[in-house]
Amino acid sequence: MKKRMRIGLAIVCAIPILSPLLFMNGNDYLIQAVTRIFIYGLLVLSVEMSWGQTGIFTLGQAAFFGVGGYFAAYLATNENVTDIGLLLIIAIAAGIMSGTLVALFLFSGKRVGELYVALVTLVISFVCEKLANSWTFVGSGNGIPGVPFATLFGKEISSPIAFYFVAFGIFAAALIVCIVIIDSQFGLAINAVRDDEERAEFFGYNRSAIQIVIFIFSATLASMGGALFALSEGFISPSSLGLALSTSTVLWVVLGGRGTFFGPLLALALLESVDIEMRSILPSLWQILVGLMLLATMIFLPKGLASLGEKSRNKRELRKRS
Amino acid sequence: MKNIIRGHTSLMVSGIAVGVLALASSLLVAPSQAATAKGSPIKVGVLTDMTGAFAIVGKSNQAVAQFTIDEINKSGGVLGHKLVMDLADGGSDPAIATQAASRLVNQDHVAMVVGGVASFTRVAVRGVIAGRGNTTYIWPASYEGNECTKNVWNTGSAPNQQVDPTVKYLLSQGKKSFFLAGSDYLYPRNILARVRQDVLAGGGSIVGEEYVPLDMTDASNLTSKVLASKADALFEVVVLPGTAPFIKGVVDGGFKGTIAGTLFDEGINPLIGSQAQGLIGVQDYYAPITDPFSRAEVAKFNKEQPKAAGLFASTFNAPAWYRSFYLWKAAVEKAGSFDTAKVNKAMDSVSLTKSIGGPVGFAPGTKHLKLSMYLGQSNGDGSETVLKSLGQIEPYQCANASN
Repeated sequence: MKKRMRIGLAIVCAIPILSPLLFMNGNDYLIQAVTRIFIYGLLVLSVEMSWGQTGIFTLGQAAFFGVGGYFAAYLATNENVTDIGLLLIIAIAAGIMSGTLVALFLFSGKRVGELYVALVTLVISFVCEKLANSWTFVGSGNGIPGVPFATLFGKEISSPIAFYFVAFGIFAAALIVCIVIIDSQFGLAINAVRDDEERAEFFGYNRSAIQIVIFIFSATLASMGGALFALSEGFISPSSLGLALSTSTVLWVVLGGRGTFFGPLLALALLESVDIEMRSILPSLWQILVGLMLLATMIFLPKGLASLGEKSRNKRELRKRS
Repeated sequence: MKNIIRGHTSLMVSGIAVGVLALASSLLVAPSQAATAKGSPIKVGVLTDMTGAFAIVGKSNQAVAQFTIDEINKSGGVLGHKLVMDLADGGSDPAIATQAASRLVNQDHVAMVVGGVASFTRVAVRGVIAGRGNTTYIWPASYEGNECTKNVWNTGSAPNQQVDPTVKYLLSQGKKSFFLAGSDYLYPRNILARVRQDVLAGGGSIVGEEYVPLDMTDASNLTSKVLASKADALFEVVVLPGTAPFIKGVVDGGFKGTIAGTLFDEGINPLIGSQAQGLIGVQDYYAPITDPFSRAEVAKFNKEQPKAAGLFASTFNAPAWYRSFYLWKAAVEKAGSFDTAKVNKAMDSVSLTKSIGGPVGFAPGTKHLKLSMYLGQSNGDGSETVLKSLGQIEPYQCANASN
């Protein structure tokens, strides 16, 4: 078994082993907070797959997150579709459709620059937020509140613990699928496209097909995350489509270390769990601290938190040699 | 690609590290205790936007909450319990606000929550607080109306309480043709719908109705439409940041009619500048109202909360925040208990003989307040002149809501 797979499995196994910590506390708020980390984890995986692994610099991934969220929230609230399996399938379909539209536009022709992709995705996220804000069909500025509890085989998932396991299961499955893809032969081709699009084409890889497939895949991950968000939080609003969430996700990936799964997920868990505490302690200063932390990471750890382990290992090896 | 972690030991360690971090918050927070012991402090949730677009309102809200809670504690607390403010930042974003609300309700087990600045926050958090959390939620803002959810209580003004007297005054001044302008979202649309209804019922006519994007800053297009309409009166609910450029444009463009709206007072006027001269509106509080209790309290507020001095304004919901705590206190004392169901039952008919802005009380079955309202006219220096004290006005909301 490859090492990356083992890391993934270690992450996946460690969480349920440690979960009793949560239950002992009996604190619904913490359970929801960790559930939210899994949900944003799907978004992080989606940016990591497209940007970290394939080199598609998407700055608007929240647009797909929001699309999934709006579909799930609308259907659950207005059409009484609450079965979580069905809603996820719908979210996947919505992700595939919206992802395909954008992917074909961006990658079906000649090679485009990284900056171009970033700008187009950024604008898409911006436009989606504006649209949701003024479209009364989806509740305009208020979004869709009062989303009912999701159901599984006809039973309501009303307790936060139950939803925690649902979100965890989906997150774990998504993580394993991502790792399997990256460890496959196709994964090598994906990384080749990231490292040098032109050379990959010279070697005969279909650069455009690879980019389209991965972009759609990552849009689908984001869309599933959005659907889970709407069901878990009980609402969806324009800010879930917008720039703030899009850029936060990129921030988590940058901070954690682009090109790894472990680093960005670590950064997400770290920032989110500290964030909810700091927000009540230092509400206005905290945002500035996050900015400084990001700056410091860029300067001192350009490869992100994930490179910390590598650095200390290199030091140890140097010491051994000398 | 190089693997980041080599070897089994570091591999397991790193896996566990992610898990630990995901759970880190549980270690950061001490388990909360429900306050049931006699005389133990009671936590009350204060949810406002300390960061983001509404931070200025949050600053005022926090100060008013602190001021009111201190005052209640000095006079003996509620049922012998001191109140403790549990502040949560909504971040001007509903996703952050629901998380904050969940902390208040599910972790800190607050006795009730006052808060929210924008309606999108209210609709997002009411499920967490009043619905799934079964906790009393007080929404202290002038808003678009129709909030009749169980366990939710509205302490700001409903559209009719501001609009009806304003339109009545304009019609009495001989203004017949109205131009309506607002930002394109729920609040302005509902307010202007009420204006339209009142104007037509009073024999006036609507010569134009325009909605502009929320973040409009270039108002020239809208301004020229208003000027071309030659209306006798302009009723505007264009929110910040568009308010100032729009009103300046209309006034400097030589508009002959009267400008009225729901968002003019000492909080907003300074942003408009000298062109605020003559703006008409109705609020539940203006600084120059003659009520001695209000004057003394606001003077005390400015002294005790120097960082927020001058931020006690109706458009920042300050009077509504103040009375929210006292109304809740009255309901708890009437119920003799902090139990949500009992407090909600009592809340339906509580009233205050003294409050900042004058006497208020819930109109039974409406979940809204009978509010003392004032007709005001803005001066060019940002201050207000009270033209008339309108007495208590009924809210037309939530027919026969049970709790």
